[in-house]
Amino acid sequence: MPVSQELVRSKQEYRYGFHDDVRSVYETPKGLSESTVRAISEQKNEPEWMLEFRLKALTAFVNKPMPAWGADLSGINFDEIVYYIKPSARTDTKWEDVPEQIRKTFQRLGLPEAEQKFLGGVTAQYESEAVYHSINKDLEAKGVVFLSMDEGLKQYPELVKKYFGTVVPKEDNKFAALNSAVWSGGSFLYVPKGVHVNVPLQAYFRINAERMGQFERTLIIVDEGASVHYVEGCTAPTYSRDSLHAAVVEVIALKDAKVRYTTIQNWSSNVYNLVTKRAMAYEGATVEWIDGNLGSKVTMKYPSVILRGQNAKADILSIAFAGPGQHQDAGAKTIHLAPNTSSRIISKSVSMGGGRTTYRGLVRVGKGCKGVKSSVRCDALILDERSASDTVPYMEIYEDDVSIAHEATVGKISEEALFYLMSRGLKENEAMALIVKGFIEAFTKELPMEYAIELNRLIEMEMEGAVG
Amino acid sequence: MFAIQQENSINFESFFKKLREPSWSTAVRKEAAKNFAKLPLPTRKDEEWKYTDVKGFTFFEPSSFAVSIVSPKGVVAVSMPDALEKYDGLIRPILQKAGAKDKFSAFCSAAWTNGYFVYADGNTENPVIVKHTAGEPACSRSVIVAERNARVTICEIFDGDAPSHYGTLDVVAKENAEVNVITVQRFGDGTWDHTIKNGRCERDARINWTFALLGGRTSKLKEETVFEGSGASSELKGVYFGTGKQHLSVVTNTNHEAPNTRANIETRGVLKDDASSMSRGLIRIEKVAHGTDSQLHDRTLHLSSGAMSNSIPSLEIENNDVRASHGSSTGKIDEEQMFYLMSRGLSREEAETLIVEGFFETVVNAISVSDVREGVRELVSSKITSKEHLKLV
Repeated sequence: MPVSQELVRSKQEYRYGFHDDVRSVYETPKGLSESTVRAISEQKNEPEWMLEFRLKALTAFVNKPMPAWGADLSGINFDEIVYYIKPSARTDTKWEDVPEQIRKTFQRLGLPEAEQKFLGGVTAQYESEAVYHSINKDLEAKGVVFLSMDEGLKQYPELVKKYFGTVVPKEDNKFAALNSAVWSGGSFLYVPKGVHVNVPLQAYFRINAERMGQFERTLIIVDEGASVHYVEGCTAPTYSRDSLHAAVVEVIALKDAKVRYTTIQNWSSNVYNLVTKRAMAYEGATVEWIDGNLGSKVTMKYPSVILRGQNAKADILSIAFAGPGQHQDAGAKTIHLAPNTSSRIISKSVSMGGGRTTYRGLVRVGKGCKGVKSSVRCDALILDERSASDTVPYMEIYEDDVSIAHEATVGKISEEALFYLMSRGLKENEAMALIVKGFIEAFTKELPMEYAIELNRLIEMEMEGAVG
Repeated sequence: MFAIQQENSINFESFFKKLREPSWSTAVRKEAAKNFAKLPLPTRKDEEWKYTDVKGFTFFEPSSFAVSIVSPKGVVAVSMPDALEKYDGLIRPILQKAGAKDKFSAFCSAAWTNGYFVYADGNTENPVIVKHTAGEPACSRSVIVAERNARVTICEIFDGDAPSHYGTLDVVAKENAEVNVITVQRFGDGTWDHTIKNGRCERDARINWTFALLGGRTSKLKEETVFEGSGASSELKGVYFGTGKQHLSVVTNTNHEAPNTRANIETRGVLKDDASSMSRGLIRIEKVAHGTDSQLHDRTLHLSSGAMSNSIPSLEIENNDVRASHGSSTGKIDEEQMFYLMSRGLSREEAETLIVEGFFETVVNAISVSDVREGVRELVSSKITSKEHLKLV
């Protein structure tokens, strides 16, 4: 769904569809080379091992071919991308210290004070680096570390070194390698043993410079018995030039930890959103990915959980909307490497106006992993005859004592349901919006309230243009 | 004498010289040989070959093998060499028109030595039974044509200890025709078998596939049905049973290219010992194919911890006026069922046999030729109980 474009055109001003001029103090030249990578590392004053990590990743990136499967990525020109921009602000901790112009942008982005109260901490990414960061006092008191990734590397070098690149290796895939070479910004979150964070932690991301890619890197470590809910939402102004967003998110859920990671992705309709998100779940840990894909031109994203400890659990819930010119190639992967692990994947997709959605998934059960249970459910709704949907699930089962099920359905909105609602006085677009909202309700009800309200509003607005 | 050869050392020319057949057929083969040389070998990067040892499939100079045909009245059913002689007018345009999209099809078009040709233009109740017996590297090429309103059933059996068998079957069902193809593959445990079956359905035509994939060291079966005319439909029921170190690969593709077409695909696999399987199904629904109803289901039963299965049921849908769904499940025998049967005095093996037979029953029951059906049942139960499975099949 080209949410941003559509909404800009609608009477109501789309509050995210704007662009502020921000003067960057340092940026690398267009294109990628060893000197770019060295310059980034030097600018950030990084330890030697990180520079080495970046350089090895660069080699992996250069050597890896573009994926031969999935969405059309031919529009990406790696030579036209600026790989690093340092904004005029340094990393601040207090709201007052954030430069006014950037603050204004965030206000228009919708971070009202009430919301800040509701949500525990905010990191906001502006251009390539976190510029605003705050954490409630009680979180700090509990020993929760919530920093930008750059700052995390400075303050907790040992912790970062121990886990960085262990869940998503630098040579994992072409875009993870690219991120590993030029990463900048993103969040670093550490929740100590036994600590429960009761409010969702939230970070906003934003692309705000033409021809600029974003390569944020997020590392979340949840120690034994701890729990946290991390929320990442991104919105972006619309631009005529293509942009690349290649993020890497690594989550480590240690013994009996519980992590929920919620994302709503609403990039402008010129963005290539190629993201590697993966979690490692140790014994008794639970990892939940709640993943919504609304925007971008092309998204390729398959949140994964490696279940490596007994009784670990994975729950992945994802929705995708694809409107004109959009391809949402999303899905989920669960890799069962220990006995009695379980996973559940629910995917709902809606395509309209010539858009295409793809569910691409994997359930793998390794030898000796007895008692594994996994269920996958994919439903696709195609709203008009110009749109399309694919389902490509892989099940690789190397153990007998398992219970694995996969089900998928594809279809259109039933005429009967539409007729029923319209006979009750709803207009066609209202009826369709109601049905679509019902179709994805399993997802919506898992979102923090503001997100759920916003999502429902976006669907209603989108449906206005869908009929007639 | 018939050693399996590397691709580049196949001497098609000397093979062609030995053939005694009409010159137009050799010309078709030569064209196919050129095509074969041009087409790339599949690799593990090709989706269909991701889990299958492609290097084990080598190309060879084929030898002759036996095809025996039981032909009921009212239908033409002859071996391919006979078809070239006696039904030139019918078979010639079909072979000349057929182009191969992949290396194996091209190889079969160039190198076949036997196969069968069935031509039906009326309603035949009794089945055509074709038995292939191959002891040496064999390559088969077969064609079934059902004219308008015709109805025919073909039961094909593949048997023998050949090191390899590669084959193709093309089925054309014209308007409102019905073709039922039953395939039983029971090669020896050393055979590398690769078979491609293509079906084309014209308006209101039906092609129904039933198969039991039981033998071979590695056996890959691809069944592809294309709906070219509206109202066409297809029912596919298949079982595969791997024991020892067998690898079985089943690919079922359904292309809906016309409105109001229907397909129902149901495959069931059982894996024992260190056997492995790949079951890949694709439902493709084109823009024009309004009113499509297409279902795909794959179930796999693991009887041992060494068994490995891969299941990829895919959908590609380009229009919204459709009903499409797929399902896949994998698991072992329910211990409660096992306990129930054993508490009734059955041994573990007997109970297992009963459960597997029940699991296969809906598919095996669809084999309409009673002798063949019983044969498949026996084969299935011998695969479960036989301690010789590692040696025999």
